[in-house]
Amino acid sequence: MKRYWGLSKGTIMESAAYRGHYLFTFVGNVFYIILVYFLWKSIYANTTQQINGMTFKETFMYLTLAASIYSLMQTWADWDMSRSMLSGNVVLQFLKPTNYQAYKLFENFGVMVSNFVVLFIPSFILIVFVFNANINVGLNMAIFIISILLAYLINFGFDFIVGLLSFYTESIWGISMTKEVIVLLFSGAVVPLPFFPEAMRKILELLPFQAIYNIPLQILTNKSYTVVDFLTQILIQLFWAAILIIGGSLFLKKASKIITVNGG
Amino acid sequence: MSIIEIENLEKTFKVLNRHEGLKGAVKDLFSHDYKYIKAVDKISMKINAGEIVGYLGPNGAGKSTTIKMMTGVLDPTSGHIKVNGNIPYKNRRINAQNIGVVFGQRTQLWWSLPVIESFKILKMIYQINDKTYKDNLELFDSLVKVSSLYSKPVRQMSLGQRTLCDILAAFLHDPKVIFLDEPTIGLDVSIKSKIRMLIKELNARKNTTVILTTHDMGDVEALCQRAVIIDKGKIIFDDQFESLKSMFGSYRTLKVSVDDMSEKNINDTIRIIESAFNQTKALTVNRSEDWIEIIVDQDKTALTDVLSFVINNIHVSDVKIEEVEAESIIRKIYEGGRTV
Amino acid sequence: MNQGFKYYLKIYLAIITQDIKSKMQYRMDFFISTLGMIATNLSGLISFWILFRSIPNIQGWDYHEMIFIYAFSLLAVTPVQLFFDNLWNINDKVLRGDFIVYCFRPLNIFFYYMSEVFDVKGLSQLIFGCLLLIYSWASLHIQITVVSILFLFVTLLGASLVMIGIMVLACSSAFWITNSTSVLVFMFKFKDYSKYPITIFNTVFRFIFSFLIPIGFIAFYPSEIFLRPKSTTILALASPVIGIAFFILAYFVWMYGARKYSGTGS
Ligand SMILES: Nc1ncnc2c1ncn2[C@@H]1O[C@H](COP(=O)(O)OP(=O)(O)OP(=O)(O)O)[C@@H](O)[C@H]1O
Ligand SMILES: [Mg+2]
Repeated sequence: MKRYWGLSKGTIMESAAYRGHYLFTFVGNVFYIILVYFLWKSIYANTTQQINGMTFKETFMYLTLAASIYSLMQTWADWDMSRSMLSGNVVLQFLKPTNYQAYKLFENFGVMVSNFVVLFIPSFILIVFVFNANINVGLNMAIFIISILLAYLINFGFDFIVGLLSFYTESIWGISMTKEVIVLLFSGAVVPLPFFPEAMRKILELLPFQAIYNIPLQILTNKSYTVVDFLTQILIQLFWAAILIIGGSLFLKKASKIITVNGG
Repeated sequence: MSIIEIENLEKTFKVLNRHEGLKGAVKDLFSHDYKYIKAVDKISMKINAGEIVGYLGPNGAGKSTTIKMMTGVLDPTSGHIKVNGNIPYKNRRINAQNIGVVFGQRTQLWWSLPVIESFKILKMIYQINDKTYKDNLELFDSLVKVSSLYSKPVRQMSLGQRTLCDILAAFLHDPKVIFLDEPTIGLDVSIKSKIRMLIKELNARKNTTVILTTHDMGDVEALCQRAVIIDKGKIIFDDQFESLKSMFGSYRTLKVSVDDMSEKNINDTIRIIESAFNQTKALTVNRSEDWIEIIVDQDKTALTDVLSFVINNIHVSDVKIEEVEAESIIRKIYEGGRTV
Repeated sequence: MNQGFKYYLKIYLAIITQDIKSKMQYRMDFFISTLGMIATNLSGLISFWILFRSIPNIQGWDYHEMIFIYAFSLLAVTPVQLFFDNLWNINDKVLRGDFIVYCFRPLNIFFYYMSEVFDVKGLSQLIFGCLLLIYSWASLHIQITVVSILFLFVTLLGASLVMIGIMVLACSSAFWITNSTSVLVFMFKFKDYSKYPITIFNTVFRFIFSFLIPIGFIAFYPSEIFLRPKSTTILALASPVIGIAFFILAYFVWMYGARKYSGTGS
């Protein structure tokens, strides 16, 4: 375990070298928050109080917090894997006495922690204080943190599988892009899920995508949630995390063959 | 007639003194704490058409910087420079039409294209007429048998093959001057000799002027009539290569390794060797990594004497004899304060 | 030396043809990239579709009008993707010192640098954008006349130049700072904002998005000419001029940076 934590720490330290990158990403987030604000303000301008049961404030909060979580999830695990495959470095990583999936997970966990500190927290503060969003403060905060970690696991699960896919395709842009677009749209990070047509929403609720954005956000903002709801949502996330991680490790077994043939 | 004229050429780089850590980074944003690096310091030289000049010097001496100025990439801080009658920086494109450049491991061919396609594009860029193009390809093939490589994309080539093609590409439009910045870096012996032969032949047939920087004395020996040595931005030697060789040709390096590599034992050993040949002043003894390096001036002491002394007096585990490296010669010139 | 427009065009076509040929060996990559491109474009369309199920319009712009603006922005972004994709490599080239090789040829450095890469996957966006534009054009019953088609081409050209200008300026940052890819990513995101009416913003941001980061000219202002011909603003008509001016500005900044930059290392 110590060894894995060392990996995360390593990437946290490395991220310090990307100050400029973080600055631009953060300013980019601020612009996005501004866009969401004005866009939805004008969407709500010619209607009564609520659209699909959401007020302007709720929608605004939902979308901007989703964007903050998005910046948290940007760890580029799939791009990393593809790059090390193309450069042949992946062979070295396989020779390490650690499980490759765990290795990647903890390496990228470090990136996520850096993102949390430099991107998520400032955006969160901005949204909550400057735009005066009202979130519930209490037990749900602790559960929110757990939920975010699980969301990260699920997201990593996707990234890892896409990364392995890139071992076959020998290119990453296309699949990574497709994954990102699907995850963002189907998780309600672009348009909140309540806006989706009933049938579509029913299906999406059965898919893992909403567990990345929608569940943590509901935990943070939904005032009607009871302890039972919290637990159910966390269990759903656990379920998807397990499926994706196990799926990834099974896929890894298959993909290892490719590496021993093509790699190096 | 000189094809390149350089007079009091100077290049100073202004670099920010960077500070460490996060605090330092913030400081750097507002800092005006610059330091100035004089990469090229008032050099003057004239190079005649058809010459092959070895432009030598240790790392960071200012060789590449000079070449960048001659090719029009960098503007001089002060001084004058003329290549083919053009001022390179002011007329970069016209100058580029008349020169060829190869920069070590940086290929200028299109990475994903087969070499022959790169050549065809170069034919358009330099507006080479059909006959010259055809003749040159034939000439290249007769010299180095490369046509089998032509259909291969550059990205799939070995470094040696790529360098060879890069050099050919540089000669394709019959430039009057060719600049080769460390063309043989990282190549094996056989491809090196192929490249030397190629350059020599092309220079002879087309009377192309060649400026060559290298750290390999073999390159200079095989190609250059004239050597210019630069150190810390200043020219410290500019003469026939023969005279350089005659000065140092008699030197050999004897390398010795001992079992006990402790600091103390090494120093003792060095002292023993030095004191034995003290009077003749024929030796310089240094430690270089895992070896004790003895530079022997054969005019003053026979190499065999030194060798037998070492073997009889010291517990050696291994011995080897080498030619003196270019750098050692250059160092010697510099330390000797010899400027020509 | 004779280096007119024809000379450059000939070289450009030769390089592109070869580049496409060599990329055809990686067909798998081409198909997957195309998939990614279409997925991205489709998701924009689907978001609008979902949104407009719940609302009638955004500040008076209805679904088909929004689709028109979206299609226009996709088409305006396509040239920068097709012809200027090499700007994404600038950071690496400058940091590793490889940029210097672009200075050795008797060619314009900007041309030579950008000519190196032609991005085939942008073609799918071109097709997608065209189909979407035709669909919204027909749904809105905009008249097809010689003049309107001519206007379409001129405004699209201007809009593309604005987008190219924005990205070339971002690319120039590589000559001054070490993190230029972040700048490119940052600026490239703004293309997604161009599909919304600039009028949703307050005065401050309307000014920013019109004159500082002129994304308003990528789709909204030129679209006004077709969607609101009666109340077209001066900004809408000026968009081709602004495009040209902005591109020229970006070009000179880039060239200045490239010449100022002195190849590091080696
Ligand atoms: N762009 C630059 N900015 C700042 N300093 C530079 C730059 N380019 C070169 N220098 C400095 O100028 C000096 C000369 O460098 P140059 O590359 O000309 O050396 P060189 O003789 O080619 O060495 P080598 O044999 O290692 O290639 C070095 O001290 C180098 O650090
Ligand atoms: Mg050099």
